[in-house]
Amino acid sequence: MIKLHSQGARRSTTALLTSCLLTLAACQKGDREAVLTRREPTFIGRPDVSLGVVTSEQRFGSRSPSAPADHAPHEMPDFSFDLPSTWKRIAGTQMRLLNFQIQGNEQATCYLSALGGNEQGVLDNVNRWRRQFGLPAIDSTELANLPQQPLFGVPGVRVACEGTFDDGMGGNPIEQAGLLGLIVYRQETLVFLKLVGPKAIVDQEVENFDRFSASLGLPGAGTTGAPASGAASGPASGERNLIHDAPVSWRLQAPRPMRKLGFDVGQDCDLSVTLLGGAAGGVALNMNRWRDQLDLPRVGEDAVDQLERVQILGAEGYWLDLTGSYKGMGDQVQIAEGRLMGAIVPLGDQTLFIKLVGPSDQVGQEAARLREFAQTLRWEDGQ
Amino acid sequence: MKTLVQSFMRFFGSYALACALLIGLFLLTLFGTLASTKEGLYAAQKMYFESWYLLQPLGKLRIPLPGGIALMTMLSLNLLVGGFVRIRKSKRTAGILVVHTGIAILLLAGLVKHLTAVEGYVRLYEGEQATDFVSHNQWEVAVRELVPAPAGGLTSGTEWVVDEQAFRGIHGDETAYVSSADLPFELRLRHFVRNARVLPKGPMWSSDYPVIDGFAVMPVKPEPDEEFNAAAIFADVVPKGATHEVGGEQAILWAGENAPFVVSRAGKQFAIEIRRMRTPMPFAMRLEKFTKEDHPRTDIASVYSSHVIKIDKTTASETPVHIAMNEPLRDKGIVAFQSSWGPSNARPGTRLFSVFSVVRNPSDRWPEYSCWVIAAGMLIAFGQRLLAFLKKQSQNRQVESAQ
Repeated sequence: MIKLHSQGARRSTTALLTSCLLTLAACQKGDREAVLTRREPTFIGRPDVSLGVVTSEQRFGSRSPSAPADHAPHEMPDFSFDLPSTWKRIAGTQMRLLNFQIQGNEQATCYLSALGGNEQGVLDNVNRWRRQFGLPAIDSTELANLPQQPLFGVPGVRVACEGTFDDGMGGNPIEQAGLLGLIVYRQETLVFLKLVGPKAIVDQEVENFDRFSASLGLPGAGTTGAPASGAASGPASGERNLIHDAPVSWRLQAPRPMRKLGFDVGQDCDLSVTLLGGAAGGVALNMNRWRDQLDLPRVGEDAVDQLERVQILGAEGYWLDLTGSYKGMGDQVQIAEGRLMGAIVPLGDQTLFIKLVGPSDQVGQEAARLREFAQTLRWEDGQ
Repeated sequence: MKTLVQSFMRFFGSYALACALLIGLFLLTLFGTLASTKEGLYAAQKMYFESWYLLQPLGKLRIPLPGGIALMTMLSLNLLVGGFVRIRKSKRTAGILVVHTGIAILLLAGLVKHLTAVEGYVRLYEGEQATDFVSHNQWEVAVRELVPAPAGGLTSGTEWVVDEQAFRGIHGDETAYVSSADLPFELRLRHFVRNARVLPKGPMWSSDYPVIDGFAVMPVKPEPDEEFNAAAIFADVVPKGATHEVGGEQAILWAGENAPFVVSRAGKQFAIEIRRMRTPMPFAMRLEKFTKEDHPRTDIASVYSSHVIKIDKTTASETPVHIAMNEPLRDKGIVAFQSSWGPSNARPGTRLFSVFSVVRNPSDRWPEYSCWVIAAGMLIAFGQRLLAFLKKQSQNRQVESAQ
């Protein structure tokens, strides 16, 4: 117990002492008590403007807190589904396209995820789930005997496991756990719907799980096939769509303003593909804009001549590879040892920007894939 | 016993000890300066200058060395014993005693600053003002009552704060229970993490801390420069007077969040957040104009200064002050130096902000006073020598003329 300052709280002394005595017995070793000191409003810079209650996604995520508080809890694609009354939608993650907490139990979750892969991946992932329960692997014959159940209209396998669940990711094991899952494969993509948690809860939620999986529909569709890789960029009316063959390890981001395409790359890297009208200020200006973001000194226009040339979308572009302290658009260093790799491609009536930003080592690991990706970019109409 | 006291006095009053201590301080300054380039200024300051001892890395070895506090304590003892107690008191040593007094004031100023000073900064754009300065390295949990703002929306009303002492070092299931008689709820603070990121909890990483609303705390290795750290802490908002078994509304508070956690209680809304500690100034500062001149044909600033208005919090009277390099604002124990500006990558025409380093130090002026005392002491000591020399010369000339 430590003694802390109590200025301005004389009135509370008696109440505090009483509450201290009452609660002392319940305190654990190392617990402390302290008084919140009352003070006048502080004012630094501009007056604080608060919007009141905001969501966790708005507090910690990329969405500005100026967005309405009752907005969807994350920026994942907006799948359609019938939400069971005992399920609560919670923030998605880089891997979880949809994420739900079941019956308010922190250990009970159901989530939808998708990965690139091949048909063999179905068996591999069934066995991965079984390993999480300490169960022996099955072979393809046994896989064929598993019950079938569709997801997004595609036939898939239904997997059920029980035992002690350990995801192998360092999380706490769940004793007497249960799993109910679906795995479907289509167009080089494996889609997973997995309900896992205490067995008693999983058993109670079987019907809800089945109803939910049957109701799941892709964004902007009713119930349709699995999401495909190699997709076109967002359908902007009157604009040509950009086709790409992105590595399967990259995770396509939800549409964002300004961006034609966006990917979460590796653990912490961000890739954006942007098209701006006209020359967008020219190569030199944009190169220096990127250099500013890495806290690098600006360079003259003649430095453009020294940049590596690349062919992208049939035009000659400029390849940049910059290392420095990445600040982005703000003043604070976001990545101390950052690296920006990408291209500026003047296309005549518009300019293409490909920009991969992240920790230096991670960007280095993705360098080859980024170059390959840039070469796969093409217009949907084939021009 | 007498011999022991004599030995003590002899040792602590010796010139040899004084020389050894000065060499020690030199080495400490050298190692500390070198370490600050790797460890950061704050960490090096703590390790070398605000410590009793340290282990200096030397290759694979760790050499134990006395820290700044140990050396300064020894030096103070040395000065006290050698410079005041053992020194022969006479007219001839009066000047030296005055010099020693000046040095003692200097050491005392350092001690007072170490024990009581608060340092921080204020960053202002033109037209903005500040009532407080912000710590670089200390955190506080603040509860702000939200009240209707004149221009619509909500703004801060009364605040309640608890400083880092209340929650620093709480581990595992330990809890800091914080409350105020004025608030309709209590806070339970747990899991203080000095540098963290708050991320959506996914399958690829695990967190040692609770997952709240799909988000979890990922501890990050603290940066050597404290200003780059973003602390996180868990807060439970529980009904007032609830027993320890009663749970409450849980939230992660994070210094990097877009908006604070807001709860509604007793018909009012309260924002709860962890933020860098704010220290009130006895006056408010409003930046009127920031000027910067660059070296010709570069973006490198040659001169920059700020015209601010100092607003007395009691009388609301306004006093214009010009703050520039080596021309700080000094008032009521607060010193505000012009220390920086930004953004560093500003293009021509970009709106700039001015940064002031602010120190609240009761002994701020003492080094100056000590310099005056030392100067007076030296004047006396050397004046006496000069007078004695001149007197001797005069006597010599009289002897020579008599011969």
